Amino acid sequence: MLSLDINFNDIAFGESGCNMTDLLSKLKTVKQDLTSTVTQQALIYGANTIGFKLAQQLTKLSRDVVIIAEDEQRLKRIQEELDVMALVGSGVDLKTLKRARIGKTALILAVSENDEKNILTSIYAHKLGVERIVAQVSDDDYLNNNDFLINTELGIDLLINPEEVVVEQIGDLIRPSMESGIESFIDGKVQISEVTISHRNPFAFNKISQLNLPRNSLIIGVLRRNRLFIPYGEHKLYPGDTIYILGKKGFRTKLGQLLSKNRRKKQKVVLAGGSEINYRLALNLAGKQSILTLIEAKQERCEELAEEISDLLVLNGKAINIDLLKEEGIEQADVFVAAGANDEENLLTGLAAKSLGCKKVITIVNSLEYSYFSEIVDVDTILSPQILVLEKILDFLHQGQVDTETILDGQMHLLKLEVPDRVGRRKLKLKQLKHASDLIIGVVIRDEELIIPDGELRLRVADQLLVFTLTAKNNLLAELFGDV
Amino acid sequence: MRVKIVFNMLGKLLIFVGLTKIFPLLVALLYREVDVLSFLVSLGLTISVGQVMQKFSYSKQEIRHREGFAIVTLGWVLISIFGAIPFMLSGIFDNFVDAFFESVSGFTTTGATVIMSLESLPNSILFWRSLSHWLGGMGIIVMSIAILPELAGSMQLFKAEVPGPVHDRLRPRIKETAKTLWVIYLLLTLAQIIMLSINEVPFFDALIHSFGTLSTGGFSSRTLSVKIYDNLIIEAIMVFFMFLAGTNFTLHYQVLRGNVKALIDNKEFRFYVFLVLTAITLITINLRLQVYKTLIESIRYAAFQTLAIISTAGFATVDYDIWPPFARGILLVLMFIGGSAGSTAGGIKIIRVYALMKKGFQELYKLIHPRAVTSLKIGNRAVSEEVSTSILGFFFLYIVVFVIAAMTLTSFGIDIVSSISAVAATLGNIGPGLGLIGPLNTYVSLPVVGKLLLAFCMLLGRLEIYTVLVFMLSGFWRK
Repeated sequence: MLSLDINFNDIAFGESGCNMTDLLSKLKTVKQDLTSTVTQQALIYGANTIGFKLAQQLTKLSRDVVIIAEDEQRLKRIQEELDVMALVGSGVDLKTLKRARIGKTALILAVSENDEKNILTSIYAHKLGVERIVAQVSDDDYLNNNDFLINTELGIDLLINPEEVVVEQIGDLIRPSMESGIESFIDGKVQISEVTISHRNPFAFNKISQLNLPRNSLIIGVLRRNRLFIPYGEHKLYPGDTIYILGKKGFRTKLGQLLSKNRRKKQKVVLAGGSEINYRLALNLAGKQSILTLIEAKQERCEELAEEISDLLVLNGKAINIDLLKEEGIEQADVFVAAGANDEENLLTGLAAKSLGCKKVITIVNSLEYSYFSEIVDVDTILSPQILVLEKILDFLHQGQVDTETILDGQMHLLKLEVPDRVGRRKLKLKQLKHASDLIIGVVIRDEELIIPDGELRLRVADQLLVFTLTAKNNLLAELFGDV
Repeated sequence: MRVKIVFNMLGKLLIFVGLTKIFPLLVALLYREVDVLSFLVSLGLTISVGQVMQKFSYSKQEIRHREGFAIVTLGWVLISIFGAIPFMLSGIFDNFVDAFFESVSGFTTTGATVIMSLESLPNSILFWRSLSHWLGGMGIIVMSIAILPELAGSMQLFKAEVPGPVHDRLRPRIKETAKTLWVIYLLLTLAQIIMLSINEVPFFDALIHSFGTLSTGGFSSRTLSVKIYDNLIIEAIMVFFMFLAGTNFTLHYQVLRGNVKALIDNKEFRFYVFLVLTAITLITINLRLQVYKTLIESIRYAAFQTLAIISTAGFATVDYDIWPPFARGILLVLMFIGGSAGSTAGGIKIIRVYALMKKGFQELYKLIHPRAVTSLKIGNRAVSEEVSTSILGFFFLYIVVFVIAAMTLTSFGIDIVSSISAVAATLGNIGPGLGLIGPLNTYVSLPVVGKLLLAFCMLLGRLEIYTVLVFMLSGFWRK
């Protein structure tokens, strides 16, 4: 309240002193305002859900956003909800791009439904000097992993394919209980991995201090019954806990080896629906320690799939048919993926599979509305390609930015700060710092080198610390170094 | 309706308006007037009421369409009420209705006055009248959007206040757009102040007249308005800036960025120029034949009066009420048309008139070719069915409001020409009308109810009918 007042007064007095120098400086800023370049502008092509959500996120990051799309109605709706400029037109129309001031755009996100237009828009944008380019394509043929062609020649920094993202995600969910590096910082040099502790996991029932973690890694958080806390050495880990491990790039393979010692058993995977996602999933999983079954209603598609993928049992029938599921021993299945064309059917089959005793059920929904159903529908995971694409793009946009960020769905804050000289000179050990239990020092940056510290590390002058906290803190410096 | 957020925003607006009273306070200090006190009191009062409103209605609700309309409508009423306080405290009026009328007339840039002689007024009061013009011209809410971070993304508020059927964005962000608009506005005002000052208008008068011109308000510091200078160059400057004020500010922006072609390509601007030139020519011929002896004199008065009316500023260099019926008729028509969309002018707006005309011709065309598939286009841009229907609706409501208000005025025994022109002049935010309220007269002789009705018309006109009327519909309040 008070601060607002002061603010007001400043403005008012600033304007009231209308002498000549004021006038001149005002004119100058006016000129700057009228001619300055909009460096932060982002251009989005496509007014679908992804375009909308991206625009929403970007405006929150206080960037100028322009959306181009052919669909006027959708644009109108977007403009009513978000503070963005909306232009009717096509991303491949140079006139429209000029109107959107492509020359002042630093980032373009081509996420419309049309692959060709997305690619062409990206190429235009590259030629017109846009620095960062993200394009979404659905067709497999565009992704021949020819990074040179896509990155260097066409200038597309991130080519994203919804199906591929889903398959990747499912792959991570199915494989040993370790999941993907969910967040990465400092240009990917440091990553956080999420590990869910199961009964068979070597970590279960151990104290943290006794864990045989790879060098240079650190547990920064434990999620137990949906509550995140920062553990210390005496905490024990229990089955059902999810732990977040911070480590340098490459540590995940070591961690994977560590965790998968006891997992030699083959997994039984049932895929419902002969969709593109399941096809790719089958391709990925075939022969890799899993027994695959795929259920598809259409005879021709079944034949196609059987021809293309060996090591795959293709069943012709409806996945929603409970007798069929029982017959094929669904109760023994480790993983069930419902990825048919119909969202409702996927949810239902997923539910059926779960109640029949399948251990892990993953349901794919295309409509964004259903992706919030995970609370209501009792399946293990509901995945929406659109949300995954969105997350992936946002991850890409966040790369390299560290200052005051949040991770793990906003549950953890990330702060970067420098060690004050007076502390650095005393070469204190980390464990000598007294602080509340809701923060942990995750990374020490020392002359370009990254150190994942333990309590014995001594601080030096000019060290930078990356601190993970559970609550946002303003006076972190005082808290950490106040009484030393 | 989320009442809390509405009150919260209104509180903020009041604080904001309260702070603008610092300027007349400074003027009063400069001229050592007793009105320092009245401004100080009203400043304190406005801010404290605003603070109280804001404090007791803290809310994190979001502003949707309904709240947008409510904030803008109630905001304007409140601002006008608190803007009237200095008039009351200074003892200029003996009743609040007159003070309110003057204040509404100021903020809505109408320029209709109930003060007989301006020369007896203290400078600070004169300044406050004109400042209210200037603030209301581009829009207080637009200004708040540019300055207050809380309002940064409110397209709803922006749409409800900025005139015109479609809203162009100059910048991707609404805040930046609002800022840009205000900067252009400020630049044009400064340019006019400088030009008038160079031509030996006293600085204070230059300030007042520039505020009145760019906002298309029309308050002057002299009872005789611009006529007092009787100087061709000054009148020419005024004409030029009135013309600019009636032009879409988006075009100013584009020209300032070096895109002069946009100006020439713009259909509305071309139609605006066409209307202005036609009106000047017709009035000049009429005046030359029936009133004045020289062509120069005829052109001079015709040009000034045409621009003063079409830009809805409402300045006068001559008592046009004594002009022949044809010339007066043209001026009355211009009152309805008004300036371009996205300018500070009032009226129906040229783009709407243009679209209506095209729509009318299109219907005729369809009668001849019943199977023709047509699309309403302005320039190269197609006008969507939705927008064209909204324009038709706007026109209808404008006329309905006009008829009802004019009829009500006649019921007080006011003659028909005065009634019609009074409503046209207030609804179009022009100011002076014909007959009883002609350029040499004031609105003081009207009955109290009539004044309140006309004050309401001014608000309706400034906020383009829809914003205010939707607020009065029963459906608006339903949960």
